[in-house]
Amino acid sequence: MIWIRTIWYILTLRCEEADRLRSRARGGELTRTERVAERLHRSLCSSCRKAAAQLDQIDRALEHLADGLSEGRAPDWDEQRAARLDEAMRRAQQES
Amino acid sequence: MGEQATTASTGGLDPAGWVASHGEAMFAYARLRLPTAEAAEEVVQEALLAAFRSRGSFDGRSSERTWLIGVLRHKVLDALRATKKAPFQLDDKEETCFCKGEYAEPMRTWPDSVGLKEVQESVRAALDRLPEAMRRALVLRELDGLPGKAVCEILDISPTNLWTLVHRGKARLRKMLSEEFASTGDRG
Repeated sequence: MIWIRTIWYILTLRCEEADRLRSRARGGELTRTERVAERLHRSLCSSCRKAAAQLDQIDRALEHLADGLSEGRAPDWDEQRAARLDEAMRRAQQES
Repeated sequence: MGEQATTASTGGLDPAGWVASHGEAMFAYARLRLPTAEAAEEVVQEALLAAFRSRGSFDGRSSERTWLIGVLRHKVLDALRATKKAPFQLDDKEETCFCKGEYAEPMRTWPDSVGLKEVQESVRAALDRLPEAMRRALVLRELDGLPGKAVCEILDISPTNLWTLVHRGKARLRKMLSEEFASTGDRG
């Protein structure tokens, strides 16, 4: 009986649930049934293909942001911040 | 003379040059994960001072920056843990509208002119506009890739709440970017 429920779940998945599954997909949090259901639904639904493409772009952007340490750029970094941090380091070195 | 002595006694580390060499990278790391520039600066300062105090533990197997970021990472997690008791509230308004389980409005693709770099900058800015609980969940789970269980422990929330926050956070990012890029497309 479980397999009937599984097939029913796969065949009747709606966009709303597929949308939720996609949010959890990164990091391998989905079960095999959920993965199959989402893929099958996406292959049949153009809105979900577009939504998945957008989510994929957001996921890749998050990955790049996480990996972007070597660039080390921050929009609100400025000389005053650097001076304050330098001053704190100078004090620590004097005290040590 | 004092600075030379300090460098010589720290196994190749150069604490006097940390801010100039790694300050912005450290601040960028913290800023992406914390809600305000002030909070990020405070944590970077704590990390720099902690690294200075424990400079004897640097074994030279990693670069100076990697080691400093490692120290900073712990400080950022401490800061996130310290604010976990912040009120956890989600309004009932869903980010994406559905009608009988299907998208209420047809999805539109983003203009072809939108590249990864643009998405990246928009996501960075949009993260700051998310409610704090949503932003923290997304940063820890999706940016740092921590396991769900670890994120739940750090933020002191249930797995159900975590996945709700991640789902709605991503839906909100998608919505904000769609609005932004729609206007980009209109201009183009």
